[in-house]
Amino acid sequence: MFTHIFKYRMKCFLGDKVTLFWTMLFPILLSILFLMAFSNLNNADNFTGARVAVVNNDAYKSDKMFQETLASVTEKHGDDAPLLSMELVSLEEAGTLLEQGKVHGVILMDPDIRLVVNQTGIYQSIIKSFLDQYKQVSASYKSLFQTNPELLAGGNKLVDYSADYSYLTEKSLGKNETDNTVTYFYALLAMASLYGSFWGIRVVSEVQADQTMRGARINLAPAHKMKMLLAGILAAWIIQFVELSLLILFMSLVLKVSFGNQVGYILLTCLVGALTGVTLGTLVGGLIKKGDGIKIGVLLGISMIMSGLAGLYFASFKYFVTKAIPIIAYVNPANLITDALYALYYYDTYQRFALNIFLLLAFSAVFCILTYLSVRRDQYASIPSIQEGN
Amino acid sequence: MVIKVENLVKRYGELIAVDHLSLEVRQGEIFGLLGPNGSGKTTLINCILSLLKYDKGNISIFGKPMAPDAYDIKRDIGVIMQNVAVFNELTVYENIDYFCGLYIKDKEERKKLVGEAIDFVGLNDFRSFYPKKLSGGLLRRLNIACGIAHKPRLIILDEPTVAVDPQSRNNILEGIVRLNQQGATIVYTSHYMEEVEQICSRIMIIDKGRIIAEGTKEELKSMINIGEIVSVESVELDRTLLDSIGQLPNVSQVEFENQNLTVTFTKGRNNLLNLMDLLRKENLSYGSVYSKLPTLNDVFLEFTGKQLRD
Repeated sequence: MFTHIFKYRMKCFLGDKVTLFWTMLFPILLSILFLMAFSNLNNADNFTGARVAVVNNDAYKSDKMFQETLASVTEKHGDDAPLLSMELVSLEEAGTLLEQGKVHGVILMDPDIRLVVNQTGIYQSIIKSFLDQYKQVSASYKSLFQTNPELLAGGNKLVDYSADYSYLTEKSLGKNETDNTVTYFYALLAMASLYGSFWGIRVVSEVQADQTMRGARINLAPAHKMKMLLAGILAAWIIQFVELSLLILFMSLVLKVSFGNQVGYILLTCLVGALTGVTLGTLVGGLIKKGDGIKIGVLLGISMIMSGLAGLYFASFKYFVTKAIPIIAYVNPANLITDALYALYYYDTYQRFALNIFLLLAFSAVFCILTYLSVRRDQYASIPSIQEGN
Repeated sequence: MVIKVENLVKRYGELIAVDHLSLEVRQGEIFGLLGPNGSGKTTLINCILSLLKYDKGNISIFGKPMAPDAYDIKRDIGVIMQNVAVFNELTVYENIDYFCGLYIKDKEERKKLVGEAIDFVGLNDFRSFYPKKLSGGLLRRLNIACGIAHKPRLIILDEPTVAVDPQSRNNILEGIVRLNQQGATIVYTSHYMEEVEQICSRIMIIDKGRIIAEGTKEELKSMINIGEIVSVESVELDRTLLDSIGQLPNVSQVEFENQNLTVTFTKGRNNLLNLMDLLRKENLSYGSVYSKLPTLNDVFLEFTGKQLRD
C-alpha cells in the first residue's frame, strides 16, 4: 500500500503547478535577478583606465624615453585594464577632445611635460600622479648619469627606480578565492530549500480530516495515518531534492556560480536541506489548524527571515549574526545550509560541513517527531472542512 | 444489525448537536436520515464513522465497537460526503484507483473493481479526464465512484445530491437503489424529502440533534392527522360558502387566498367527492382541482411546527 500511496502522491505533487512554480521556477528567476544585480555591481568596480590625448609635437617626438614609458602604461597586462588609453593628436585636436569630454586630460611637452585638464576627478589625479612619478624618476636617472657617466658606457645593471616592489603576497585561507557574491546565491539556495515547506503543508493537510475533504476521506479508509504521512513526505522530499539539484545545476552551468568541485557533498547538502524544508512544512501544517493560505503566509515569513539572517539580503549580515548571536546561526536551518556550502567551498576539512549537516538532520528529526505528535490523533473535535467543502 | 447507536451525545461547547440519539440500521435496507440543514445529520454520521469525538454513547458497526483504528470495519464501509473529495491532479481513473487502493491491495482485483465502478456511474467516456474538466453532475458521480469502488457492505451517503442537476440526481438515486439491490446496506442523509420518500425503506426524521419520528414512510404519514389536501383553483367564494365547506366531514382547515381554495382533510372516506358535490350544488365554476396525500414535510410540520426546508 505504501508504494501505491507514494506513486499517487508523486503524481499529485508533479501536477501541482502552483507549488512547482514557487519551489522551482521562482528561485531560478530570483537567481537570474541576483546575477544581473551583481554583474552591475561588479561593473561599477571595474577600472577602465584614464583617457588621455598626447600632443604629437616635436618635443614629444624627440623624447624616446617618455614615448616608451607611455607605451608601457597603455599596454594591457593580463586581465587588468591599462592605466592609460592614449590618443596621439595635434594640439588643436587635443583641445577639441578635452572640450568634448572625450579625454580626461591632455599631455603637452613644450619642452617640459604639462598636463591640461578642464575639471578635477579621479582620472585626472591618476594622470597627474603618473606624470609626477615619471618626472621624478627621469630626473633621478638624469642626475645619476650626470654624476656617474661611466654607468652609461659600462652596461651595468641599474636599479629600476620606477618599479613598485611589494613584499606581501595575498593567499587564500581555503582552497578557493574569496567571492562575496556566492553568499547571496547560497542564501538563495537555502531559501529554496525552505520553500520545500510548501510541499510539507500539502502532505499534512491531505491526511487531516479537519483540513480537507480528501483528508476526511483518507481518514475513513483502513490505512494507517503514519503510512500516509511518510509516503507524502518521501514524495515531497524527492521532488524538492530534484528541484534543488536543478537550481544548483542552473546556477552553476548558466550563471557560473562557483560551488566548488565536490558534487557528492553538494548533493548531500541539497538532500538534507530538502528534508529540513519539507519537514518544517509538515510541522507548521500540523500545528496551525487554519487554512492553507495562513500556513503559507507563516512559512513564507519564516523562510524569508531565516534566509535574511543567512545573508540573502545583505551578505555581511550572516557574519554579523554568527559573531554577535551564534545561537541564532546554529538554530537557523537556512544559515546551516549556506554554511555547509560555504564550508565546502572554502575549507579543506569537512568538520564544519559535517556539523552543519548533522544539525540539519537533527532539526528534521525534531520536526518529524513534532509533526507526528500534532497529527497522530485520529478523532477530531470538529470537522470544518466537511461543512465548508475544502 | 449493521449500525447500532445508543444514547449518543455530541456537544460543540454549549450547543448540543446530537442529543441522546439512538438508532439502528438493519441489514439490506436503505435507511433515510431526514432533517433540515443544521439538524445534526452530518455530525451524527461523522460520529458513527469515528471521525468526530463524542461526549457520550456507544456505536457499533457490524456488531463490533467502532473506533478510529477499527480497520476491519472500515474496510467494509464506503462513504460519500456532501462535498466532492477528489484530487484535481489525477484523472477520473487515477482518482478511483487511488481511493480503491487504500482498501484493496491486489492490483488485478483493483483494476477490475475500478472498471466496474466507472461503468456503474457511467464515466467510461471520461476515464482520462481531469476533475476540472467535468461538469458538476459528473464530478458528483466521480465522488460516488471513489466511495464505492471497493464494494463496501455498508454505504453512507451524506447529501450526495446537493447542487446537482435533475438528470444527474436521478442517475445518482437510481444508482443507490441498484447498490442496495446488489446487497449493500445504505444510509442516506438528505434534507430533500422527495428523495428520501423515493428510495428509502425506513426513515428517521431528526431536528436539533433529536429524533422527531422514525418508521417507514407509510408509518410516518399515519402518525399525523392529515388524510389529504385538496386544492381548487379559480373559484369565487363568499364567507357563507367557506363556512359550509368547513362544516363538511373530516375538514380540519380551510384556506382561501387569491381565488384558490385549499381544504385539509383528516383521514376519512369520500373527502374529495363531498367537496365537489358542495361546489356543484352551489353552481360554482372553478378551474383545476388537485388532491395530494400528506408528505414528509407535512409530517415534519406537524411535529415541529416549521417547514422542513426552513
